[in-house]
Amino acid sequence: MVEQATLPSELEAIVGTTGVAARDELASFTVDGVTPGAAVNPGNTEQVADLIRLANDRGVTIIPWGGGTEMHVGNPPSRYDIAITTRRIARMIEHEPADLTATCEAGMTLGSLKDALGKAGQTAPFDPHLPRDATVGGLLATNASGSARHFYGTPRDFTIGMRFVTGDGLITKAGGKVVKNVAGYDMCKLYIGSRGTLGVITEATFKLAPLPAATSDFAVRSGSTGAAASFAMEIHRRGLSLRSVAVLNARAAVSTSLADNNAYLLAIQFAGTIAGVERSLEEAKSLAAESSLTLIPDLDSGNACASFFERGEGETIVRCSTLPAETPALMDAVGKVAPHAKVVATPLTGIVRARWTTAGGGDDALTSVCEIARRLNATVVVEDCPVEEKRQTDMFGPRPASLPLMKQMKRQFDPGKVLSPGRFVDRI
Amino acid sequence: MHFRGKSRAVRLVVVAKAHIIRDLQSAIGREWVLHAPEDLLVYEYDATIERGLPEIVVVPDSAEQVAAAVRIARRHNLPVTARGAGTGLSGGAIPCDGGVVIVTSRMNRILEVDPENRIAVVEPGVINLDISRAVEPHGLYYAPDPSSQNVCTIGGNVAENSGGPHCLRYGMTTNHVVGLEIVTAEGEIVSLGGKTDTAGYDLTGIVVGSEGTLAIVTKAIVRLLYSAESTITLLAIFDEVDQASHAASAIIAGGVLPAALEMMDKNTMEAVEPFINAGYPPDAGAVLLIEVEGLEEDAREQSESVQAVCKELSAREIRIGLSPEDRERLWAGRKGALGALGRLTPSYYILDGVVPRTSLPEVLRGVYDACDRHGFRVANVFHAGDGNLHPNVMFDEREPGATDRVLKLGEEIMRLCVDAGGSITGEHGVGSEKRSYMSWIFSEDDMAAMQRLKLAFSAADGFNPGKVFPTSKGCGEVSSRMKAAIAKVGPNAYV
Repeated sequence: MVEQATLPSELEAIVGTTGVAARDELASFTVDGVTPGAAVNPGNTEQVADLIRLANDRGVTIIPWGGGTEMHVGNPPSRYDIAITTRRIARMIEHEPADLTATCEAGMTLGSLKDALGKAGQTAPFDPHLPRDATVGGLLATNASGSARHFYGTPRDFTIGMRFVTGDGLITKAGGKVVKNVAGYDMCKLYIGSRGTLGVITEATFKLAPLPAATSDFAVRSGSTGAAASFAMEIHRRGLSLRSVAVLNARAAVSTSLADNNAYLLAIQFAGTIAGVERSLEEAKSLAAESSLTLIPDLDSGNACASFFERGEGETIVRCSTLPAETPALMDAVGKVAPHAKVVATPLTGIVRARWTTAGGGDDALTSVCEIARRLNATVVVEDCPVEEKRQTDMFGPRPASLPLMKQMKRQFDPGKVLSPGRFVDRI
Repeated sequence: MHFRGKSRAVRLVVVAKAHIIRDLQSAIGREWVLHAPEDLLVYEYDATIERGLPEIVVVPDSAEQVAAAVRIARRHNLPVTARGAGTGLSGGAIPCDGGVVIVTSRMNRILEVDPENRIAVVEPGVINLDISRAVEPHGLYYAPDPSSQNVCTIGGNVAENSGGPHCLRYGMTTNHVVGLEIVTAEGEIVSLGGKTDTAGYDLTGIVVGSEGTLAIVTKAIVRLLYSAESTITLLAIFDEVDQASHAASAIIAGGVLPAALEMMDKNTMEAVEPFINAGYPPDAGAVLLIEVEGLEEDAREQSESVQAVCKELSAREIRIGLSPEDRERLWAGRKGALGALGRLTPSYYILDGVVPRTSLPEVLRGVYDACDRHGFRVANVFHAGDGNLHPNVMFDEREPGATDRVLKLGEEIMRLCVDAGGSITGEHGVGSEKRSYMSWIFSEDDMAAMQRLKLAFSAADGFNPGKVFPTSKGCGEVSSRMKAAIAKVGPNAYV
């Protein structure tokens, strides 16, 4: 709660009357059961810096807010007074198609960014299944990726510049607008994935990718995770036009209309030149036949995977990261201890994500899933679960070896602990 | 402890030095601690003409020994500079303030190759190309390919975030390193990142490219890629430089992202031709060397698109290499370019700047103008696809005032890059040479944020002092440290 009586007017002095959210809107900025006393929509980077400085002066805390699509990830905030949104910092700043780069403000949604770039036959290589209303800033803060990661990497791999306000209100630039640049420390890497605990991202520049001439979505039905993963790995080894790939267990596949009890569904997108995609599809068909797998061709783009990424209320979500070759074993183990879970894995990057409804409170499955995954040497992040559970266990798991260095980073960039306090690793 | 300042380096008094040497010897072994002046000389240089003599050189065999050496140096307030193969082009391995140089040549083991998961774990002294050689039987390779890849080490690559011709498509070192083991300035061994995703800040990404100022790398986990099914190399010959630089930009604008897209101008070709016999027409203005790869179908289609763009922009001839031998022949002139230039001129100044691809034609014109005005010949051979320029300015060091004039020219060219929206270094690093240009692209606040990393790593000036930032002390006086990038590279070098 905001304690200082003068704070509302001070916020207003920075962002203007229209920049302060109405009281009845505040509930929509709730994080882990904590509702802020104010939500403000600054119109530019300077206002963000002013707000952060004010928070430092007044000893109040801030959680930066983009599209709000990933706010469930993290430990409960130890304190949360003000939400700072980027909804009014959302313009495209520059797109030079011939340079294959674009700069936009952090509040721009992925949907509008992709639409704008698409007109020039280009795209920002974000994951195809991220929600359209996720923002660029949120994406960078979480370094989110999915079924196309083996091909494009994560946002850290294609972000070349940023504007960033540190936790003590310093407005800084990282990187630049050129695709190759080793001048100074690579600050973008520190800010990307820092989940709003070091500062606020207000602008970013990306390397873009040309839109492929052809795409083809299909699914493969398999009786085992092993066969599904082997199929994906072989396609990849051959260098076929594999843009996106995920394995869904039967429960996850239910919503796709392609479900078959007891069967796993491998959702694949090929993309590239017309001839390349055609050949890739032919090889995939014969490989499926050789492996006695059923191939279901010609799906709508992303059809098989998309529904999995629509978040339901009252869900527990666990994200495990393992070695690619261990993906099937991990997927099986998770499925066994949490038979009611929807499980989706990306077999080329070793990410296994399980989710299930826990409307009435926690259940044993969460502990079992974490235990089994860690026993298989996976790193585990609990992306969402009932708040009571969140208060008891660190969502990011055991302390990483480099935690002391991370704490030093926090001290350097947010000395007043005003940003997303308590939310990240070791409740930093 | 007693120190005596002697011009730019801390010089140890004899007694203190004997102490330190004894400590280092007991930690690392007698034969791996060098301190006789004649033994130290080979460690005072890299591929630049900069010099900095270390007090002591140690050649540890393990992370524990590196950590021990760092702790001993810290105890005695001596700076530590890590050194790989010494092929850097910004003085990264030069111990500006003397102190201890840690050489990684004994830590050259490939610890693990995991073809199934496409990763390898290597020690810092492993030579870049040796990784690709080791994993080739599995159809894999390590993508970053700096020009010196048959001698340069992974530790050095990590420090400088090295690039190479193929980083156009595949990215720099930072895109291929997923984890590190480091020794901090406090002498602690810490693991960053790993084979799987780790929670928390991306400290690996910070250490990569920090030019040896934050930590010493003792292990790296690198990603491997499958080799492409098909690779096609094209050499497009143009009458005018302008046509070639327009074509470079147009190829990418047209939706093709080649694996490599390199350019050589007339002066470079003239230098190369007598030695390589590449068959460049004597009156051609520039050539583009373009490599496309992927599935056979993709490579063919990309090759056709590239040819169409080049013809459209008046390429007079396009040569195509399909077999490895033919492709190698097309690359020969590019790879031999710098060595050939070295035969034409007593000295040359290798510049490294980046501009947005679309600014290439304009900036290149500016580079030629500036060189004309200053009365120097320039040969441009560079990564056009990335907009990463390498003007090589030819001059004679022995001619009075020539060095100062060539440095002035270099500064002017860097200005052109920055004014076009670019950067002061694309792949060679800031080192001590370009520290004073940092303020052209970064504000005081930007650099203050960077300096916070040094504080967080408790590194201060303990590691590789005098690099990257304008505020720290550097090698010698301004004009002499600017000579850093004036290369004295041998016949096999190329940028």
